[in-house]
Amino acid sequence: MDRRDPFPRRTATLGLMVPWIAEVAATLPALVRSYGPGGPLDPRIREQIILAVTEVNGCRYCAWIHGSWQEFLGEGAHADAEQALLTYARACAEAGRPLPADEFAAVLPPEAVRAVRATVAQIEVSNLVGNTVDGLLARVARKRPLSPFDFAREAATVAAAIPIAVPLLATAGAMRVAARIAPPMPEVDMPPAGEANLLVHLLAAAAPAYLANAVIRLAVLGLPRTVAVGIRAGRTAATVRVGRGRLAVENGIGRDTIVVVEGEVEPLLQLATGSIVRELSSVRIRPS
Amino acid sequence: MTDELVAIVGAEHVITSAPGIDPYLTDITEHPGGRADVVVRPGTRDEVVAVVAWAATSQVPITPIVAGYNVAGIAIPRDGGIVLDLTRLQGIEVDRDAMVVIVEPGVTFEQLKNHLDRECPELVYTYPFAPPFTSVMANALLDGLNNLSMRHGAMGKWITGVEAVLADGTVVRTGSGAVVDSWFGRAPLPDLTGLFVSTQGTTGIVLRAGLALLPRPAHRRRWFAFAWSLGDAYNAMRELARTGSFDDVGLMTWPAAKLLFGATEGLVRADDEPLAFLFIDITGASAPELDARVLLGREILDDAGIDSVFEVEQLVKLLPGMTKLAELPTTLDFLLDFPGGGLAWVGSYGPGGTWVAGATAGMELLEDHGFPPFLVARPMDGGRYYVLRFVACFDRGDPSDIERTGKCMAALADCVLDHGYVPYKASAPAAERIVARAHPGFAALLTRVRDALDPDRRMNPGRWPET
Repeated sequence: MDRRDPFPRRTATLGLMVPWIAEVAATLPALVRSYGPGGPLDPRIREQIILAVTEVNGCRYCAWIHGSWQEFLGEGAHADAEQALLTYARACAEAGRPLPADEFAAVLPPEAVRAVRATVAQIEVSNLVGNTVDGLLARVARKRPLSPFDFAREAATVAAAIPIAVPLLATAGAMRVAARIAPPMPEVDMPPAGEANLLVHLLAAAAPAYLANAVIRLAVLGLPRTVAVGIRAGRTAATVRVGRGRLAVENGIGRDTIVVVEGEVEPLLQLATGSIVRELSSVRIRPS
Repeated sequence: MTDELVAIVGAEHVITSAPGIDPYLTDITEHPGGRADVVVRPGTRDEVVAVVAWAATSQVPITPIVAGYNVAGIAIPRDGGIVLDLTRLQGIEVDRDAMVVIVEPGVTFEQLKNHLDRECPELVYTYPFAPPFTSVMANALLDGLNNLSMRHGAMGKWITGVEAVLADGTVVRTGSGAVVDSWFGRAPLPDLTGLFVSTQGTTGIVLRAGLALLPRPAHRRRWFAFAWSLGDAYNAMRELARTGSFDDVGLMTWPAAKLLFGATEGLVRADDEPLAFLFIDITGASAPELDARVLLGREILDDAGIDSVFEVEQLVKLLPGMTKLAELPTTLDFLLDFPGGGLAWVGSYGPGGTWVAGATAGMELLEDHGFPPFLVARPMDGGRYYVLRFVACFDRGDPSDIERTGKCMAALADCVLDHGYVPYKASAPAAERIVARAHPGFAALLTRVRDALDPDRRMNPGRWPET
């Protein structure tokens, strides 16, 4: 940042961008995978990292987009290394360059470490570009020197980002709307605690995690009729009834179930804690 | 009485008022309250010795206590006199080379764990299914069981030596620390440490105990698994224990899980619910070692018909409350906060051959007395013997519930003895049953030891009855 320039945030200059673009390039496959199903990083953790970096850099566009994304995803289970990841992300943002990830490399798989590095780098680039938009607007509003060369550079940066930024903003808007219109998580209706089987207890406890995503909540709780789904985990069974904004769990497979999901306990746990993917292959769905 | 005691420990550590003494007269169990004249809280070993010496000259009974959570009424004063509260003695000294920690009586599991994590992260102790504020030394001296007892035996075996004050005020020492400047072990000396193990404070008050530590394993996996019959559970526990490859295999029957989920009454096992849960702790010095053990564990569980094996890490992420089962020591609030606040159990050690029959009979007894069939079990010492511990929560404010619990615990003590199991941390009624069934020579030797060490029977009176 130019000392004579009153704009307080870092923008997309060549010197600031190069280390991050190099980091994105080095971790690109992990970055791509972290946005796909079964990514090495839980999406909620990814969004927390992004927001941590964004908070340091002060990019309001990224804050809005990823705030929407986080709201859409909802609360999930917390990872063991979460605080270490956020500390690392903030430290990188404050340093303005990628830092060694040694501290959590010992406790996370290499693929997850690359995904964290990629996430930090990607949002750093986005933050710098987002701040450049505001920097450009400040020049137009004469709140900072017009400086034709810098104006042209920033205008070019913003123009290059528009094809990516506009769809992202639209998607974030859609996510924000979905999060607002999705029904809230209801109280889970279940048998008395002493009678409820352990699968019922488990599903009731996991329901907020399963239904954290606004679209899932919208689709499941927003059903106009109550739908019964049987779940058999190992030898224990439960029936989940959803729809009309309500959620009930009861012992055994009800006669009115439309499908029975069969599997083991572990995939159910993984599904709720975010690290699902491998395990989902062991879940079978059959007609009731 | 109090002037002399005040001169030793200071006025602020001598309690004579009824409101101050009352909490020492009862515990969480069904056992009746006791009586005491004074509570003394010494802050150093020298003060303990001075109090005991004064009590000897004054012929005053002494009941030692730390947390008072032995769940057998062992620290309830039965004969008046002094309650010696040892909680202020909190010295911890680690010999990293010998892998031994020397603790004073007031050191809690939480303190020891924090100390090791901070000062000696390469070493670990073993922790019980008990609250973090309970005494490390009392657990060892009472031969409790911890989460490495499957591999290394009951806690008395972990003691490498003690320093104790006898009833007459004499300070004695056992183990290697009695001869050289290292408390590395009990061998190769006459094993006098046993005089203070499971004797419930009747032979003297231990001032310091050396306890074995272990290297901290670099890699760890923890599983929960479902068992649908006691036979399957026993087969799995036996095979896992005998390989020597697993750190811990614990078992709890279904009421434990329902209590953890917050149920307190009307506990019913659904038709499709597992009978019991196995908790399996696996560690390795290297990743390949851990992987090999994981593979072996899967094979053993499959062969034994144990299914639904899942990672504890996943479960506790979703249900943090389950950490209470997975990470020891534990708050036990789901048991201790049970409405009415009463907790009783009969815990016992015995042979594997009668484990299933003993477990079945004990669970039936619990149900016959109106309690859920809550059993805690574990193989011990590499599978040489096993644990049967039957647990009941009750209302301490309801005399009829106390009576029901007492009857149930008495019946359970008979039941485990009938199946070849011996109660540990034996309550007075259980100790009576043990002595009544013991070889005459056992009772005679116990009496002679006590005659030698405490002829006036002033040390924790009411424990280990005479024949």
